[in-house]
Amino acid sequence: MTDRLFPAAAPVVSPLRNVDPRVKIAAAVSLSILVFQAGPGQIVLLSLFLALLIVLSGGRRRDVVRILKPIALFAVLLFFLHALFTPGREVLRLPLLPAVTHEGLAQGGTVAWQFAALVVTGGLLTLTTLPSELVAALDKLLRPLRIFRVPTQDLAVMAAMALRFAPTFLEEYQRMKTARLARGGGAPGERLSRKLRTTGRMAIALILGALRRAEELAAAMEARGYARGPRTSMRELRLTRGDYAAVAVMASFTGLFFACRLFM
Amino acid sequence: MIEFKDVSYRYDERQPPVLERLSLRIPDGQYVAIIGPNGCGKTTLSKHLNALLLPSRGEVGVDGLNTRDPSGHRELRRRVGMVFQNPDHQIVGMTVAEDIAFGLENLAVPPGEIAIRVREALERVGMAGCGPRAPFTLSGGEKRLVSLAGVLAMNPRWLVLDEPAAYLDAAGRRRTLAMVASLHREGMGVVHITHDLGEAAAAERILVLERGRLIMDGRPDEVCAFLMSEAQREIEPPAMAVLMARLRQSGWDVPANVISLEAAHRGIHEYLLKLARSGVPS
Repeated sequence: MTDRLFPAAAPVVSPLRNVDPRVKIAAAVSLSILVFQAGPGQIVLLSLFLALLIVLSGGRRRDVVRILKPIALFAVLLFFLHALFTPGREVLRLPLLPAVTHEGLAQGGTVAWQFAALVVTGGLLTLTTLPSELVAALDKLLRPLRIFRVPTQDLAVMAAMALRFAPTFLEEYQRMKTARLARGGGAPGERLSRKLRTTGRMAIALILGALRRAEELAAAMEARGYARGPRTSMRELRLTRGDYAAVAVMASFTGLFFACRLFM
Repeated sequence: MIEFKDVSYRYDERQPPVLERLSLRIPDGQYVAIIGPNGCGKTTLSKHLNALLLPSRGEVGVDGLNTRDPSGHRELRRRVGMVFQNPDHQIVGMTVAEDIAFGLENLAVPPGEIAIRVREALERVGMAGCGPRAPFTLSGGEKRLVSLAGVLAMNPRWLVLDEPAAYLDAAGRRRTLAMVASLHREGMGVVHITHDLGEAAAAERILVLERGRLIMDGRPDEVCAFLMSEAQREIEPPAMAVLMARLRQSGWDVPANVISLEAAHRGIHEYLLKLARSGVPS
């Protein structure tokens, strides 16, 4: 379970792994924008670029499958909804259903691809970056907001805590589920109303546990000197030549993308 | 030196105080154990040592720093390292190294030095090379050592341990307590909170709390004698002392007020040797 949450607990050694996390976050944001701007011609270009990134990430086929598996059903659903409910030239008529249109198929294909491409982009980011590196990058990227008195350091620490305690909550949830099973609850065929009631109770118990834990965690953090004020970070983020090269590649690709949009 | 001057503390004004008119001094480098039943104020007392709690009345000073002065809190927290009862609630990093670095980052230690001190702290607790591991992959004993390493990296003068052997198996417990004893030998002051008198036997001095009051302050053998004489109290006398008292009642010339298994073993062994030498059949 924790592996699923933290695929990057020990990220694979790869060219993308070595890129500065700030560059990777910026590239992921840029790619996400391009995904929404893509027409049919650019979809091919972006797909090729994403495939290249997958190779550079050192990710194996099973990593890509792991990233896409949870959203596959939703992507298919998106495709069919668009295919059936977009007005246009009729391609196919199915009994009891609206007609499938040419425009609907194109629209459904695009939307499903956009959804999958976004998930792959995010997946590549977490596959090649340690959660702590993401937090450190977030802290640096948000830093300009300090002039508006946004507590960026606290936000970064909050993000780190959320990531740190996600596996603990999952463990707690599993323990509760096991305890429930041990007392005869959650058996197959249990009524939905009963299931919902028990889930509600478990959620309340989890929230109360989380609050108690948060209080103890706050005391532990304070005891180790956590307070507003100057702070350093073990992870010193410094841009290298490789990072500048990555920025250049991303900028060139963005240029190529918009050139394609203009001329295709 | 740690000094409590007439300290009282209430979590809630409508409730009776958790600590009541507590006064004590702990000289530099001393190993003190605090024992007492649940709810007697042990943890509350420990939280006063690095200003996590401020006294409702009276004053707490550590190495001349008054805990009421917020400007000294950062230095206070560097000097007094606190290891909480449950390491799961204390480990904040996503990797072991990041957790150990947390305190150093708060003290604004330069990044280059942080890496060195993290490595040293890990070596000190016998976990060299474990820096990249995620906390949820560690055993209970390892988590405890990581918590300890996180505190040691800050170079504290005082170590406050709240039930350091809780949740640990026998091996983890031995490893942790041996580590604490070794840190004390290096000159670190230790405040060790425990239920277990066997653990407290390692201390030079034991404080006994009951309902927020200090009811006994003395050497382990003195505290043991006190607990044996006050059997109606809420604290059980140590099993070894009870055993030795029964042997004495049976006419064995063994030392009284013994807390640890080692001391009891030594006492019985010496008595049996004496008997053998004097030719009395045992």
